[in-house]
Amino acid sequence: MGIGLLVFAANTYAQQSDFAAIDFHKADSLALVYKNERLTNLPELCFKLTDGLDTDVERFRAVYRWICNNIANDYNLYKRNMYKRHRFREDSVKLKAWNKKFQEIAIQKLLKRKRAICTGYAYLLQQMAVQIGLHCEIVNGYARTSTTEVNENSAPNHSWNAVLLNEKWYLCDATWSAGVPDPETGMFTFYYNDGFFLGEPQLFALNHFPIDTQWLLLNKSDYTFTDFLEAPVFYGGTYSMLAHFQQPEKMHHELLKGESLHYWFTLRKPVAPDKIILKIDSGSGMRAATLDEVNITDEIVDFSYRFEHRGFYDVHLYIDGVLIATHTVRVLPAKTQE
Amino acid sequence: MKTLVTIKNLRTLGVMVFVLVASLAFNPVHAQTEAEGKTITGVVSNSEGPIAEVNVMLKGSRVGTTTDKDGAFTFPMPLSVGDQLVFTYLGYVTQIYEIKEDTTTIAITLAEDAIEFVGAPNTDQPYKSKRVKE
Repeated sequence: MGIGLLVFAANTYAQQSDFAAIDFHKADSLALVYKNERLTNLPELCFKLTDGLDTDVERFRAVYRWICNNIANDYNLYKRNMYKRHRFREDSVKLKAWNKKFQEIAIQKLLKRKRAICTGYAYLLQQMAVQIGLHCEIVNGYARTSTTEVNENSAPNHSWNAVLLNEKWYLCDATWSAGVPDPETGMFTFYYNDGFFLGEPQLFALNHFPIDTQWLLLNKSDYTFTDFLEAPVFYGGTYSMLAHFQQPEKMHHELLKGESLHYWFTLRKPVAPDKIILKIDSGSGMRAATLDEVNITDEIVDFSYRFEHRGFYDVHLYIDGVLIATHTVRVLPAKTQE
Repeated sequence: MKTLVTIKNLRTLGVMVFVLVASLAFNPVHAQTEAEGKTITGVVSNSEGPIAEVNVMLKGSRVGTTTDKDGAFTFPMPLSVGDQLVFTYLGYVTQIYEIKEDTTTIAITLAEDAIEFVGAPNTDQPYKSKRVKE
């Protein structure tokens, strides 16, 4: 039964493993060879990047990797845009004027300095995909990170892409694949994360929610915006290390003293049980928790952690030193028992 | 002695002339120019005026050019009726223009792509709850 379910799950989602037989080495090298090319001649750049590649997925890969290696996330541009959009949120005329002005600024930044914010990445990827004859859509929606607050009244704050390969739609997020900006200094560090390339729709849905829900690409359509808002906080590491995350599926938990939080997720590749740890922040200090029984069967990880002391905790899951997920747990005194 | 050299030179010249004539006769690009191709020029603008660095490509080929600072271009090869030129510039809707019988100059106005830019960058900073003193 368990195996049957797994096979079913593996077949339902459109994901990178559909192309397991394809070696992306050649596409990745082409992306590196043309590292310093400018964006002013997009048709020529796309031709060079894909010349000699045999399949659509390799051609798309070359373009995607080029964007991730070359386009820096402009944190200051992001902040400026967010500030203005917030300021004009009640004034549709001014907001429209700002959007038009910002579009010019954003395109010029992209062309001249190879810097962008999310929609710039998504737009460039779409335009380059069109150049190589592929159907690629910009997906607009909501994204949640450890520092982004999203609620029912929030405006959409992120863009990513869906691409049609071999008559199947796949998701990718070039912005988050490219690297991470330092919120203090605004400095961007290129650090390619492959987990966002033709990523798992089930993982995407945990912190990407599209305005048009068909782009969830989930067969099960009962996943709602509320589910998304109540999900734990996830990180880049979630995508690089995991294939699926099942439990705990909500961010906030209230437990009685002595009760446990149960974890259940699937790894992308084998990891030793002792590499899986919880770091627990009580507000006055962080400590690594000892996990007694971490079961790993066919990359499916299963364990529980028991809370012995009352308090309020941020619980961070780490795998092999990489931050994966954060939950909060309020531990209340146990009910009086005989 | 002198005469011999001249004859040799003449023969070389003859071979050169033959090669030149042959290459003209069998060069397909040249043949096309004479038979059906024509030189196409044009200007590309947006709502505010001419724009530079617009890519102008022949569809299905790698042949193309970009517009100069006055938005003008001369396509680098003769084109025939039915050929399609693709005008690309980031931020604008790509436009395709098909060459007709009477086409010699093209005026293209590119429309801006309506993009609403947003962007939440990802972060590796661990989540931190806002705590109120209990």
